[in-house]
Amino acid sequence: MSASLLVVLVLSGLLLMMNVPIWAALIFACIPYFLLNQVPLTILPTQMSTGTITSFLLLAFPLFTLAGRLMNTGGVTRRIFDFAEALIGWIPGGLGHVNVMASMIFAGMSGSAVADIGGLGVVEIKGMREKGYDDDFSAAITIASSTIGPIIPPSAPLVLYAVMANESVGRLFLGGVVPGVLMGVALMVMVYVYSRNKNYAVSPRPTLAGLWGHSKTVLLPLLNPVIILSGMVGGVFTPTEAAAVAVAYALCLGKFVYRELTWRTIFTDCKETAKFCSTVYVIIGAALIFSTVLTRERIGDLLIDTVRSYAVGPTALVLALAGLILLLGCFVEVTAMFFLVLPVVMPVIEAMNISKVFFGVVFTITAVLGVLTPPFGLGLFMVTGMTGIAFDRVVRATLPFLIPLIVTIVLLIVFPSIVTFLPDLLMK
Amino acid sequence: MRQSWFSRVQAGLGAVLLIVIVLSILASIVARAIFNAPFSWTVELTSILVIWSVYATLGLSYPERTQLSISVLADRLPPGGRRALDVLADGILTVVLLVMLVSCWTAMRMNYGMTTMALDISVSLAYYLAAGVGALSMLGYLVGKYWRTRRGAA
Repeated sequence: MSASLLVVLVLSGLLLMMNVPIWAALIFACIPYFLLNQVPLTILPTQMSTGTITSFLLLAFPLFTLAGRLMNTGGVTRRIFDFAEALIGWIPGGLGHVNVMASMIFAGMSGSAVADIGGLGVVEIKGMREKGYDDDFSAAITIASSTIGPIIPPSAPLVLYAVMANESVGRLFLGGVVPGVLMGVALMVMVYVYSRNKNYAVSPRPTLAGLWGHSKTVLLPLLNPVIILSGMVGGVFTPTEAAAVAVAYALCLGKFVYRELTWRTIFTDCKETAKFCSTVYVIIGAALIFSTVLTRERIGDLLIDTVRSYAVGPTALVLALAGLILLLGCFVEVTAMFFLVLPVVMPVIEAMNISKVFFGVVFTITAVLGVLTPPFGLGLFMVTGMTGIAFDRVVRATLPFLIPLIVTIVLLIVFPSIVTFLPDLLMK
Repeated sequence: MRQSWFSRVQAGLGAVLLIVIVLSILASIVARAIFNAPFSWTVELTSILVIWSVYATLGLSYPERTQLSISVLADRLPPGGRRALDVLADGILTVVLLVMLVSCWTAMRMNYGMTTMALDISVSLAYYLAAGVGALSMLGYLVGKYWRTRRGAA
């Protein structure tokens, strides 16, 4: 390792810890390296405004984010919750299961845990409070179930992974289907065990007519993931085109079917999406600059040699990485993790012949758990604000729900085909 | 927080560009699927628009404090320590923005004659100028903050 690289690593680590914006910390740390190694500083605007950052594929990220936002403000959430309640609200654990099921359905429209908590979460917690469920349980299951959002397609984080790892978005989306459902089932088992002695209210068993009535209200939103996946798998459109179609579909639903979107709210959603995506895009640009340094210094080769010298197998390696990501997730924002960790670990994943689809799904699930891990889990703060209960109480209530999610991750790592069989089956 | 007219224009521009991106992609799907006449310029136009949308709104992340950062240490410091870290972070940001501005200018001069393939627009205007404008707007907010603080203290 050269001295100039050491400067980059130490400086970036220090600046990141000192609350310097991630993109600025990464670029600032690289500047001495470029000066010492006579790399022209025009590399900064080149990476920040041309090349990978302008890729058509990456455009799917802001568009899926916008589609999720429009679904959220377009009145879909309340209908999804009512449908899920009619469907499984009668099982012991009642609205706990409904909470998980609603998140699984909403995941097919949104693609972000934060959107799930901020939109559906409000409806879920209000509904659970009205039926006498304790705040701790309502808060915990709302945060835990939100992690399904970015796994069941469409998924904004999986698009970021696809760009960073140069993998097919379609295969990644298909790879997320079964693990997402598995996460939901694991959380439902936990809800069942947790609520055995609590006597929570349950809904009456639905009649067929009642169920049909509720189904009709969510039939159109449920078609969203079907349109996206079938269009991509069938080769009708690219992932980015699928994202644009999802935006148009969400807009038509909210504006013309449910009539809850106004032109003003649509424009506000567009403004918020543009602002959010600009903060993500500059980190992508900075991460690309940082990656240039890592590539020049052959850090990937160094890591590969290290892993090989310890004779670590693929399963042990992915388990160790998942542990590391879970730990980092306690301190680093989910989106930022993609750009800080992936440039370093992807060469090792490729050298070890580990499926990039499998690793992408495992990486994304593990990184997303960062929304519910203290001390900086964004989901914990959001739900604390929504419920008004103490942060410590939310943390204590939520931590047990990490267990089924971690068990799911371990299962996926031990049996990678749970992730890969669907993309292998449908996309050769 | 009440936004200035400039902030509203920036956010509005970012939103409008995003809407144009969606419309041009949808138009390109229709042209290909229905009229069997795919547009050759969609990919290039959307890549230019997304860069302008990103840098049109980038400056806003400074006053709105929405830039992603790791606040592990800052959250555990007393108010004085946190303020000191804020000043340090602003100093680092200023250096990065100045370097960005200078290197954007250099890149623009070097690539001015080069044009994009489909739309035949100067690469400098299509891409590098956007990054420069974004850096300049954030620098403006940063300087404005300290200018107002100084005037307030005086």
